[in-house]
Amino acid sequence: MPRTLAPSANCALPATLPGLLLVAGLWGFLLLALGALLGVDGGADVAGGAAPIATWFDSRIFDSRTGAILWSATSQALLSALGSLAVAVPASIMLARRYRWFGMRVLRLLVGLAFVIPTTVAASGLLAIWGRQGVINQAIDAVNAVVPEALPMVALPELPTFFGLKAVVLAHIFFNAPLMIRVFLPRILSVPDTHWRLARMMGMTAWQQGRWIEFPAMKPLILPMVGLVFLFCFSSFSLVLMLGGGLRVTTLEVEIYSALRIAFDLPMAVALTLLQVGMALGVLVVLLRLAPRQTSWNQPIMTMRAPCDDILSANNFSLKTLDIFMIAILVLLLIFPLAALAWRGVSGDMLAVLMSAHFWRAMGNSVGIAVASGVLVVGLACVLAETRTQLTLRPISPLTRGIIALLEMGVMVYLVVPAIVMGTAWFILLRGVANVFAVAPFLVLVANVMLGLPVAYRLLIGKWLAMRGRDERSRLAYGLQGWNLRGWRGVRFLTIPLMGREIGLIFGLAMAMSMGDLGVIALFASADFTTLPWLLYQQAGRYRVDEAAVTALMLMLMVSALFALGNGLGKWLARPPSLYYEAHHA
Amino acid sequence: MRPILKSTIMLMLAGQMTASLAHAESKPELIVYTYDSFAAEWGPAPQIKTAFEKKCDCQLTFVGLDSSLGILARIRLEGDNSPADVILGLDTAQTDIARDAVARHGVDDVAGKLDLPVNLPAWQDLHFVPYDWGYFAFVYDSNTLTAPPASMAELIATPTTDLRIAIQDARSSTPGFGLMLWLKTLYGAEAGAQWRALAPKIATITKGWSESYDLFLNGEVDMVLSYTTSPAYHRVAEDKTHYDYARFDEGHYMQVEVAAMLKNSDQPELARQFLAFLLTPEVQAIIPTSNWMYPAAKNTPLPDGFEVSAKPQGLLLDDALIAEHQQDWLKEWVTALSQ
Repeated sequence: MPRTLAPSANCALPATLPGLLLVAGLWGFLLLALGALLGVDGGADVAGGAAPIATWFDSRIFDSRTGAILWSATSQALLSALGSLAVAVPASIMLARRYRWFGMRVLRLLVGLAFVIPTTVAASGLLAIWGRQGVINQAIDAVNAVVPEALPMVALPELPTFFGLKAVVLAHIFFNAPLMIRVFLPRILSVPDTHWRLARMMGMTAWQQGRWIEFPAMKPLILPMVGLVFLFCFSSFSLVLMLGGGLRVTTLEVEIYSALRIAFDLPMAVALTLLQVGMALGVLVVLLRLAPRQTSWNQPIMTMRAPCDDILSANNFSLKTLDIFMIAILVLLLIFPLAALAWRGVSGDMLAVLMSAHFWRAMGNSVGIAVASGVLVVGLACVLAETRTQLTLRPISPLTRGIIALLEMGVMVYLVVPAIVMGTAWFILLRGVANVFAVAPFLVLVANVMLGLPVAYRLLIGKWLAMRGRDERSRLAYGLQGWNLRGWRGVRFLTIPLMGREIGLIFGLAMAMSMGDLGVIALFASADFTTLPWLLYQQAGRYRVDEAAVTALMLMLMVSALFALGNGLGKWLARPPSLYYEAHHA
Repeated sequence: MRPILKSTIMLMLAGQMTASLAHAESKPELIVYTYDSFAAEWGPAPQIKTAFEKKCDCQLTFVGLDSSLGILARIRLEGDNSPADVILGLDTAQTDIARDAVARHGVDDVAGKLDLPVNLPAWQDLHFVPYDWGYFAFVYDSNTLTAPPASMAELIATPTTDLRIAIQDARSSTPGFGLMLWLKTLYGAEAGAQWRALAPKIATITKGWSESYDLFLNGEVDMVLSYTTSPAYHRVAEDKTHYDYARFDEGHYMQVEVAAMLKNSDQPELARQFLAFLLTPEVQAIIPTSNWMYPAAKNTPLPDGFEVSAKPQGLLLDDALIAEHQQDWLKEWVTALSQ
């Protein structure tokens, strides 16, 4: 029996070929799509607007405004990503420390929800708290009404107007801090028991513990997550416009939209898309380069238990106060807006929505696509992660480095290709071949897979690399030394139990993201095929705000159910393998 | 996974082809591209379809695209091969851009049938037939705003602290584009300066109409850029009389929604018949409460409460002028609001 700790081929998924094909497919498809847009002729003569290629650069793209837009988008996205981090890191530490406090289970579930609500719905939830007629201002008014008029200096000022950069950043924190918490919390929970016990023996303070245990546990994922969130915020469109309060806070996407739709200047749209992609990938390269490769200790593989019993400082009074304060912030920032949306939904026209066949058709379509998208995302993310691992095992050469870079970038790039660019390209590619409305469900599915894949890959890759580096140790842990674990058996007895939690998590996340994404459906919806986010958009578009509120509530409930399903699946998959091996062979 | 997906697609394609073959054998099909809310089950399309199919011995198919900009983009992408026979839902800001792709409508005496605001010149467009129209306007809640501005000039001159409005982005939304044209009509070369003066009162600029209307209904802004028919909706459908629009002395920029047949339609006769049908009382009576716009034809009865005051003056720019200058105007708009 080989006794090396190096990853062996024993439990390898079929090597790198499928993954490399996938990477080639991702890049090939992007080039094909952009090429298709450039290949359309006849646009210019109808429009009378498209400029010859030679004049783009000086006159159109790099005019002073483009620079301002890029600066605005980049700084907004960086602020949003750092803001999300500033909330997520202390929140994750607190959530781990107070894992068993009353109501924390609900808090953990709700905190995860924000990430997947359609952006404009969430914005309206935020305004219900922070807006002019929001809860806070109403509370201030109520206080002021009670304060006797004799004491005008005691009167509280109302909140300043919500719109502007601060609103955009706050909204992005609302969306993305939950995603980060979802990633960071399990890292802290899977810190080995021995660390906590050691900390207890040494009498570490909460601060020292954060410095030496909790922060190092999160550290390897911090920069990748900042990169991911940066990409989300960089290409955010409706939300930035809605809350930006004018055109000073803006993104390139609206320019791309206008180039495609008003000027019908397809080359311009492609050029702007490339600019957006280039800029985003540039920032991403820098972030990923800075990211440390390895955890400071090996992440444990099986246990995920709450460390609270071992944390000495947890009983400290001031720390308790601090944690309660943190909970209050989370509730104010993440839960209140959701509660406001839920309240609107409950008091909306529930019957009208639930009785409509249209709603149930949309719900059926959305759930179907979400499940399919979840399955595909999990499969593809595993293939990519395994390919990435195999590439790492090869002798480092410029070629492997290049391929690794192509893989990492190829996964992420679709986050910053606007849905309208993708949708238009698909239309051009498919128009001679198929009725685009008939294949609309597949287009929506593919778009959702491409949206979920980057997130899934990011969540998977760190642990996957570590796990595959420790096959032998895992076998010892599971009592599987000496078993022949090639091929499928390896996947079943090592990969799935080890990665089960992550697989469940990304399955749930991918389904939830798919449920909430408006994406390309706007271009391909028809009377026969709608999704829930599109129905929501339609209802809001014909004055039916109370129906839209109900639909939003139903969407949130469904998303929570899918999340819970993913979590449950994760727990089930992560059972130690010997248990069911014995069950089958006893 | 892959082969299954592939074969399913193939099956669906095959199904689609046999379905269209079946149609070809039975009745001629007239395909109409329109925007989503027109084609939706609560829009005018289903009723129009039933009515038209009774007369034509054909099949009328509405294809709902995401917006009127979407219709325009679609026929430009498809070029001469477009399966569409009729496009319905462009407004006069877009007609000149699509003019090369459409044929003459051939409907007799369109101008004589129309009920457009009296201050406008008679309808002379030989390609596009109007089926409804509306005025852009700032809508407010009379419970919270008691003295709305009485003119665009007054709105622009209002102190910033007194009024917060929501508008839509001219690059992604028809009303947003309409407001840009409105100020252009009123102020010409001075439009940029007027936008700069208006800017501090703009709480936010949304991508589409529904986001800003939602902000308005939730009390985040005092006025929202919408249509004069929005208060009509609240009166007729919801019995709420406290919403109104601010009536501007200078007149209101208009949106005239039109239909036309494509040059390459393979059903030119049916298409002409359909265009003429749009102006019949049968269709026109459907428009007010399904599309929430004014019907285009004379003598169409309006539901109670739809119109409670005399119509304001209408403003409309020449479509060729818009097509020629829209890029410059958009640039001016963006520049003014980015400062």
